[in-house]
Amino acid sequence: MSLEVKHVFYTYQEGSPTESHALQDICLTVNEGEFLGIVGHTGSGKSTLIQHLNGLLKPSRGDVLVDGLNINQKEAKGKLKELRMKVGIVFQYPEYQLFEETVEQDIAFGPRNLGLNDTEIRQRVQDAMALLKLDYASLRKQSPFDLSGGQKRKVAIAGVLAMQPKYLVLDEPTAGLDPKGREEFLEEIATLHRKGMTIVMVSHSMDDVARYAQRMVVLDHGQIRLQGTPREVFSNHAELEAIGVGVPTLTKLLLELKAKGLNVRTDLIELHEIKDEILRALSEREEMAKC
Amino acid sequence: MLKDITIGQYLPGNSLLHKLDPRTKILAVLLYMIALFVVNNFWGLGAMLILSIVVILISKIPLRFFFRGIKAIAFIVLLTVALQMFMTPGEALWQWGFLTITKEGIRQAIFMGTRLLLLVSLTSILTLTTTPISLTDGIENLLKPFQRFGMPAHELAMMMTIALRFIPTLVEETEKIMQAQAARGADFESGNLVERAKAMIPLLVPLFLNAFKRADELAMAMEARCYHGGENRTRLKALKYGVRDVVTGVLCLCMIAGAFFTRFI
Amino acid sequence: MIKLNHLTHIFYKESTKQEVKALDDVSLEIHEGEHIAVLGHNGCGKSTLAKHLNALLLPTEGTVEVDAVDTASEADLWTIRQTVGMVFQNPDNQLVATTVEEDVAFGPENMGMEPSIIRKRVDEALEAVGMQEYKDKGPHLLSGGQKQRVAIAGIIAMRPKYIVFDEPTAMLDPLGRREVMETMQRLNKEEGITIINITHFMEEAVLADRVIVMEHGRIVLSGTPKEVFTHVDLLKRMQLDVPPVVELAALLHKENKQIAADLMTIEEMVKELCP
Repeated sequence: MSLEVKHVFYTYQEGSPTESHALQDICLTVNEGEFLGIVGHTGSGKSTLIQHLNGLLKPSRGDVLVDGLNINQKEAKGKLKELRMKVGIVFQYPEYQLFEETVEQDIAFGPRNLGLNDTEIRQRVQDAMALLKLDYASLRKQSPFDLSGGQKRKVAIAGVLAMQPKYLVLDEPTAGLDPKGREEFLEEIATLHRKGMTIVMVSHSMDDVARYAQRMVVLDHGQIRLQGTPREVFSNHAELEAIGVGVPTLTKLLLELKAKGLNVRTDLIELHEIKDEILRALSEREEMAKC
Repeated sequence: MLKDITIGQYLPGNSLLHKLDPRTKILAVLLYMIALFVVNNFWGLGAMLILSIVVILISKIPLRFFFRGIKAIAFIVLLTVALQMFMTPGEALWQWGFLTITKEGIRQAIFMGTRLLLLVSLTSILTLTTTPISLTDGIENLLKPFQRFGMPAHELAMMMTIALRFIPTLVEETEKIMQAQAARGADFESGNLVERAKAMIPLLVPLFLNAFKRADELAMAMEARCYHGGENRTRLKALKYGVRDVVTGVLCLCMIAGAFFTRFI
Repeated sequence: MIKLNHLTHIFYKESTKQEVKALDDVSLEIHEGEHIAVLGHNGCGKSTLAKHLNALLLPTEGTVEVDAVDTASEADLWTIRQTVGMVFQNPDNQLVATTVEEDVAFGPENMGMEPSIIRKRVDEALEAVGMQEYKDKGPHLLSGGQKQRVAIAGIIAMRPKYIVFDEPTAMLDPLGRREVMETMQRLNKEEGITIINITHFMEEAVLADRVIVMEHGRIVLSGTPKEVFTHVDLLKRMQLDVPPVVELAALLHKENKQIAADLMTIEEMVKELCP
């Protein structure tokens, strides 16, 4: 079971003088259970791409398959709700979509749209809040607008989790948060992944993707330019620089050290493995100097 | 998509009309409206039609922009024409059941229809040749004399400017919220009127709350930039009447005089 | 010079019905020409501090003086706001007019300047942030970074001595962030404008002359970036994010004392390891 994007093209305002090709021949598979990072800068087509994953946008050309169901075909029409249930999307700054009087009601909005009964809805709200370590008893009656920024965002995400999606797509989930909030959030997302949820995370932070994603794609001008594990992708540093997304800070450091003649591996990501590698290379250089 | 809506349909250009002072244009349109309702026979209406065509030609604005404006009010025009045609009492020309078309009715229908069309065309010339900023400046300036009677001229203009500035932002935001709620299974497209109205709540509540937050932040940013109302405030582009404005003014007066004159033909 | 004397700010929080001490006895001197970064996570009082610098907020206790003028003096309000400009976080919510040029003119217009002088200042300000070619565009057509540059131009046009940036890059993508930081640096180095940058990005703090770290409404650390970053453990405990190079340098130093611990940038690290 997987999300499959097959040769998808998407054009905004087709036929008008302002038409723009947001996506061009995108082929991408999101396997169940994986953590995929999508990187690219503003205007690269990231947001357009994720809106295809649950049928908010229909491709101009090509197919999108959710667990084998083609969102283009007629049979998908009646199943749109089922589709939205399978693929949950958390948009940028999701706290700006909160509207209910209490946290509980807001999180219940999705399940209620699915037509579930009250007991099921309550169960789902509790589960979703537990997943993000939000305390149900103390928060349920509070107004979401009285919470702090980070809490608000968690409530908004819980609203999507309450749909119990199999695939969770997050668009810049840490945008605008302070470092403390960012760290917490990324950890929560990693936890969701460990619990078996498939995660697609859109980000422009190479450092975040490097740390959490198992596989990543780099989008540029509506096309996939690079694809693979972070280590594989970061080895194409020249291309990454040309696209303008850069490489993680420490990868850049390793590359520059190597260029200066220090014999270090450049495909490392973890802080501690980089430290060890540099120390190893330094002692190796000393040995050589002694000879 | 919502984004396709064009707001403040200004069309850049450098025709004589583009260069006129906005105040001149606003006053001219007002006088034109008066003239349009002063004329009461076909001589007068014909003259107004010719005048309007000349003005449209001077503006160098492609005709399709006028058709677009006309299309928007087509329903009202047709309704007016139909009402005039069937409801005016007089000499019957044609009858079918309770529907009667009179000679006077046809005359009235042509008159009202043409008046409406001309009115729309000429007011769209005003907005097509004037940037929203100079339009607000013009209105503020023209309302200034009424300020001493308590008319908040500057505040009105400031409100218009801010509204124009934020409409595109709010449209974009509406789209984003709609998508987010749709991803949570909201349905904005089906259902009866009550259900649809209900579906708007998840859209309107965040939209309003965000708008208030924006207003709050904007007010602070404006204060930080020394905004303290219209008093002692100057403008980057001060409005100034030129020779062409004087000439236009004289022509407008001639138009009004001419309109009255046609009543005696 | 901006001088904060034992500044305390207390506000009443509607939702919890409690008084909150946002600033607690803060004293600080900001000298002309300095580039200061104020760090701390949300709720540490850094934004409240910023709003005291141009009288958007007034002290509950203590005083704030801008060039020896007390910000509480109502008669000098507009002089103070003109002297201390402010750029806010959300680029959308600080642009007022429907075109870039009209927006930049907003401040000088409020100051009641002659149209010819406004024109000159608008052109210069747009040039200073590299946005001349967009002067007739509507703000909604610009990217986040561009909007923020227009906001900066709107402040420069008022010729302030000090500019306070209140998390100007928090809502921007990396490209926009770079644009804003480059503009900020240039204004400080070339125009001699004093910069106070309120931020939570450590990479930005590296560029400052002096870094001030706040927590619970108090200043907990202050010094050059190098001095402040030697406290890696303290910063980490405060959950402030330490630039990766700084963290790596600290780790390397722990195991090999020959490697300096106060390295902040890639260039410095490369120079240290491959001289």
